[in-house]
Amino acid sequence: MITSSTVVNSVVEKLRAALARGQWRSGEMLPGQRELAEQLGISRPSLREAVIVLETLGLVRSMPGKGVVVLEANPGDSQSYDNAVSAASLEDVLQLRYTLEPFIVGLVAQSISSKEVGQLRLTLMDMREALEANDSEAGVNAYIAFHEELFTLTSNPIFQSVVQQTSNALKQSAEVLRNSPEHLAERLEENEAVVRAIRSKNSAQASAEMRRHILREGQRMGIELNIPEDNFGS
Amino acid sequence: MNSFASPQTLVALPFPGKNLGQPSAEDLYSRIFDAILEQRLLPGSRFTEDSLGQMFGARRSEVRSVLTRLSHQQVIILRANHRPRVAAPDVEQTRQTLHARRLTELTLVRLACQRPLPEQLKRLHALVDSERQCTARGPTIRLSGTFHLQLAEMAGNAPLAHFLGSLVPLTSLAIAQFDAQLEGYCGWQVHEHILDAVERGDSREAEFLLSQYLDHLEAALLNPRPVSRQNRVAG
Repeated sequence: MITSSTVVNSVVEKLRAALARGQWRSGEMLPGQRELAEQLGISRPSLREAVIVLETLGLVRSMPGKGVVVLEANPGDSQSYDNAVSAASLEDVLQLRYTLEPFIVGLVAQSISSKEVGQLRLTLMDMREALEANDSEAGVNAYIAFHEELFTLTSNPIFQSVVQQTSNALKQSAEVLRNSPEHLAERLEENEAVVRAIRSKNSAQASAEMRRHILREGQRMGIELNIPEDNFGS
Repeated sequence: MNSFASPQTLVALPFPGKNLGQPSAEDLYSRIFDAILEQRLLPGSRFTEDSLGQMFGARRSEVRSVLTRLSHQQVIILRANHRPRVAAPDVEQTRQTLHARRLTELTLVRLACQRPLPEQLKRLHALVDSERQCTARGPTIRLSGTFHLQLAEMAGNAPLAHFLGSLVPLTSLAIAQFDAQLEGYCGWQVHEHILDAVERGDSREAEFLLSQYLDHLEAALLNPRPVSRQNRVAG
C-alpha cells in the first residue's frame, strides 16, 4: 500500500509548500533535476518520483526534453484539506488531536525501534535547550518537530494523511503556542512522559499521556474539549 | 440542487458544496468508484487514464482528477512509472482503518448530536430513503459510505470529517474485496435508527448504535474468506 517512500513523501511536501508559497509561479520551470536534487539533498530517482506525484496532483507537468513546468494552482482536490483546516477553529484542531493522537502514539509504542526512540529524544532535547535559552520561537519549532517525528513513525499509510493533517494543524496553532512561552516547560514535561511510555513500549500509557497532554493544552488555551463521559473502544 | 437527490451523484467527500458546478466530475467519481466496488476493476487489473476515459466516455483530464481523489482516499494507488491500480487492503490495514474510523466517527456523531441541523437531517433522511430503495436492487456499499460522510459533515469539525473521508472509502473497498457477508444486515435500517437518535440529540444512543454497526463491520471484515477462492466474473 505504501505508494512512495518517506523520503519521497517529505520531498513532495517540501515542493508543495514551496509551490504554495509561490517560490515558482505558474508557467515557470522548476530548476533542473540535478540542481533541485542537490538543493533538496536527495537522489535524482527520488526527485523524479516526487515530481510524478506532483504531476498526478496536477501541480506540475513534465515536458519531455524541456523540464518541469509549474501549472496554475487549482483549488480542487489536492488542496481541499488545506481549505478544511484554514476554516477550522483552534477547538476543531484540538478535538482532532484529542481523537487521533493518543491512538497514533499507541501504535508507535508497539513498533518503535531504539534508534527511533533516540530520534524522538533529540527533538525533546531541542525543546529543553530552547527552554533554557528562553527562545520561544525555537521552542515552538521543536514542539512541532517532536510531533512530526512522532507521527512519521507510524507505518500504516492510512495515517500518513493524519500525520500531515496534524502537523498542519499544529503549524496553524503555532501562533498561539508562541504566545504562551511560559507553558513550554509544562509541554516539555508532558511530552517527556509520552516518550517514556513509548520507550517502555507501554501503548496504553503512551495513549493516556498524550490524552493528558492535549487536555492540558486545551486548558492552557482556554478551550474546553468535548469529550465523552465514557470512552468507547479505546 | 436536484442532482443531490439522485444516488448517482451523491458526494462521497464531506464537502459537497465545493463541487456544485461540476455534476459530471461527481458523476464520473461515483461511476468509477462503483466499478471498483462492483469489482469490474479488480486489484491487479491493468488500466490507464486513457482506457478508463474510453470506458466511461470521459476526458483524460477528468479521469486523472478522479484517480487523484481516489488515491487520496487510498482506493487507487498511483506510483511512479506504474499504471494506476486498485488497492488491496490486507486484514491488518483494515483493522487499523476500522479502529481509526471508530475513534473518529464516534467523536463526530457525538458532535453531530449537539447540533442536528434541519436542512442536513432532511438530506440524510432522503439518503436513507435512496439506500432503502437501492437495497432492493443490489448492494449499496458506496451509498452506505455516503451516509457516514454526510453525518460527519453535520458535526461541524471539518478536519475530522475530512479524515473520515479517507477511511470510509477504504472500508467500502474492503467490504467489496473481502466479499463480506453483510447481506443479512440491513444497513439502511441501522442508519435510520442512528439518524433518529441524532435528531433527538441522544448522543448515548447514537454512539451505541454506531459502535454496534462498527462491531458488525469488524466481525465481517476481520474474519474474511479469501477472495481468491471466489469465482468472480469480471466485466
